[in-house]
Amino acid sequence: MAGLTELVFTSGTLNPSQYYWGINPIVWLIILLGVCGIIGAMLGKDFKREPGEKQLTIGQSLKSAAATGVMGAVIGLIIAILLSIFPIVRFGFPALYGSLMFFIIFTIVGFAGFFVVGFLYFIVPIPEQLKMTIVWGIAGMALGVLLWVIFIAQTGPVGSYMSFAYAPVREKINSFFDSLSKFEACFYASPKCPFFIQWDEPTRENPLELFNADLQFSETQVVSNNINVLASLTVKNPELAQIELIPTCYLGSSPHVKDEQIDIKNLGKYSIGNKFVFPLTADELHTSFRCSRELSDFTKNVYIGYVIVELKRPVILKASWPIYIGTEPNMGRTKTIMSFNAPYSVALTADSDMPFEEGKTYDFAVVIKRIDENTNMTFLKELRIEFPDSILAECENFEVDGQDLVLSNIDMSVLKNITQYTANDERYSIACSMQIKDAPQRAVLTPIKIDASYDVVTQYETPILKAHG
Amino acid sequence: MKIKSNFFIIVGICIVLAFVSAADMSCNQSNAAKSGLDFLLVSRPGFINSGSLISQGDIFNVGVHLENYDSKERSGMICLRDDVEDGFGGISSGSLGECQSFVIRAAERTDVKKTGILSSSSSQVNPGILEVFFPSSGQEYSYYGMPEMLNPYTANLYVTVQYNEITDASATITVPGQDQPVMAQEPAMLQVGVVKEIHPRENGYLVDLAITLTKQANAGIYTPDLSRENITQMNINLIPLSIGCSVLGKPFDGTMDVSKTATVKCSAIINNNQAQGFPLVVSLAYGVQIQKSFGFNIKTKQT
Repeated sequence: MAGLTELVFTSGTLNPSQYYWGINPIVWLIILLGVCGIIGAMLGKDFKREPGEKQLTIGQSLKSAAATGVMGAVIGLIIAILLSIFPIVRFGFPALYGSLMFFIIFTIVGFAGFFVVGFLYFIVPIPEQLKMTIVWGIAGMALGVLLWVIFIAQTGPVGSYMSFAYAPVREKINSFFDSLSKFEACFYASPKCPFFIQWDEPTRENPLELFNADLQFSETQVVSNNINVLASLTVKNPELAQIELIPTCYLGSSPHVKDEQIDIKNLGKYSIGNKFVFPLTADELHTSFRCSRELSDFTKNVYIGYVIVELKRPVILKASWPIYIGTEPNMGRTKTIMSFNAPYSVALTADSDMPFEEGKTYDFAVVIKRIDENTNMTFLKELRIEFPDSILAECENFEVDGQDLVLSNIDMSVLKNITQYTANDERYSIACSMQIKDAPQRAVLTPIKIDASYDVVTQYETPILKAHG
Repeated sequence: MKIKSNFFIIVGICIVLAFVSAADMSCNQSNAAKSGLDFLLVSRPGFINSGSLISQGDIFNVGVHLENYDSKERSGMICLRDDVEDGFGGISSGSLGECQSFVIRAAERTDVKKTGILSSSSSQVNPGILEVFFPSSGQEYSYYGMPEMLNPYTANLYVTVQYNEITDASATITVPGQDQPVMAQEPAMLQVGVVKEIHPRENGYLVDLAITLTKQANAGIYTPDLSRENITQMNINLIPLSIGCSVLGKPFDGTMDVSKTATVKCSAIINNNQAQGFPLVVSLAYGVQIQKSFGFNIKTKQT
């Protein structure tokens, strides 16, 4: 047990992503102390000691404070146990080592805190009302520190461990507040308001992508100072002649911070060199590989961090914008239909009602938008829009190929420059216009075909802990 | 006791008879009420019907089964179009699409007499039947080049039948008298109604007639050359009197807009006090256009 409190972290410094709503953790501590302290004090002013209770001597006060301290130790232990339940459930037995540290710290802090406060309470001859106010204020501040440790603090042994253990809880809370913030757009009647139809997001015919890859981690413990995580890959490829997946492994201090690239070993079936090549089949294909690194100078008992795997793969997207041309009847607007859910959607969208009339010119936009937040587009191989003969269209930076408009071999940095790019929702918009050369009186369906091909990197991560050895 | 049981038997028989006769009447009514032209799509392998699912690249035909419930032969045009842009194949999407002329024989009415306890006579209508096939050239339709999607595209087939109608409606206007005239007219898309008012005057009467037109079915009414919608040609005679007519206070020009609930008001003066009847003849000439849409689906992706 000698090395029990020795924790090693891959990173102890704060990066901007660890700031909550852009506020420094220390400022958060002050805010929480202030808010919880005031709430506690407000509650305390309504409590009174029993009438007739007398002022105690120093000896009696120490005795009473010791009894209060024991009560505080028990409360601290209970809090430590409660806080440990989540990490133990999540990481299993290895988390017990980190949690034992909690038991000791919280028991000692609980005893000390209650003892000091109790002693002051019994010995100091100040009005009863004020005493209770102070006691409850301090209790509130203690709760503030606890909240800060769990949700805000990222440094120091306790802060880092809690940050690591409670990362999923924090992410869920953050995503809840993020989703709430989307409703803010409704106050400005912004198109981002969730109650409005998102015309730049296609309807998806199939909620799943036809190509599907799933990565499961096992053997995530650090054994004999070696990280040797097994990544089991399951792939469905019912459409493409063959699909290449290139995995890369990283070691990270958080799910979003890749500190160093580590080795990939034991690439299983379907591997050719450093990549996997999966054939077309209706069956599920299974293979595996390992992310490996030796921690040669590593002697610590507890290690925590993340193994992050990036899978690079191509996406081939097919979509259709079913517009109507003609004069009547009014048919409103139509959304692009994507044949399956792709990590990045490609949609054509116009603000005009349909049908589009003969001889008139209409503005529309090509919108590429991120759907899967764990995936990043790395390269746009080709975006081809096929128009029927009755439509003459042009888009900024697109090349004309017969009746088609084509954008090809575009790096993401270039794509950001040649489109209207908004970073917060990873959206690329390209201005276009179309002229209706001829159309009948009654509206007719005139679907526009969209074919896109791009590379994406999808991230998977797993926490790793070192077992006591 | 016996009287009571007999009473229930008689009541029971009456109820059964009432049901049987009601069913019989409703059956006769449905036959008698049907008039004009009706049509549906021919249901056969290789032919599109309502709700059909065809694959892109499949060849298909369209057949229209036409029925004439009128007692006169009809001739006109039958047209077919879809709502898919012509660049993707299929059927022409022009204003009426592809048209063929048709002639369909009159319906035959036969009197059917039923004997026995439910003896009655009714008229059975055997409509004139004609099937028209598209394309007429002997080729076949197919869709091609539509973007591939998992779900089929929803498209519509529009069948339009056009024919001209010339019909007379007649009634006897009795003067004097408060009895309202009853128009005699063959079943037609536009039915004529008349209300008379007789005003005595010195040495005679002033006859006021309010003539109305009622559209019988959800069909389009056009001028005989199909150039103007909701307009019918209309000629009114109260033989042998001279009659003056107006619509909404303006002189009647021989045409009537059936989209409005306007009434043609006519007046004639009779210069004697004798009781007599005058034949009122209202002649109509108009084009009828009946359109029906049939939804179908075009599958673009093989699963």
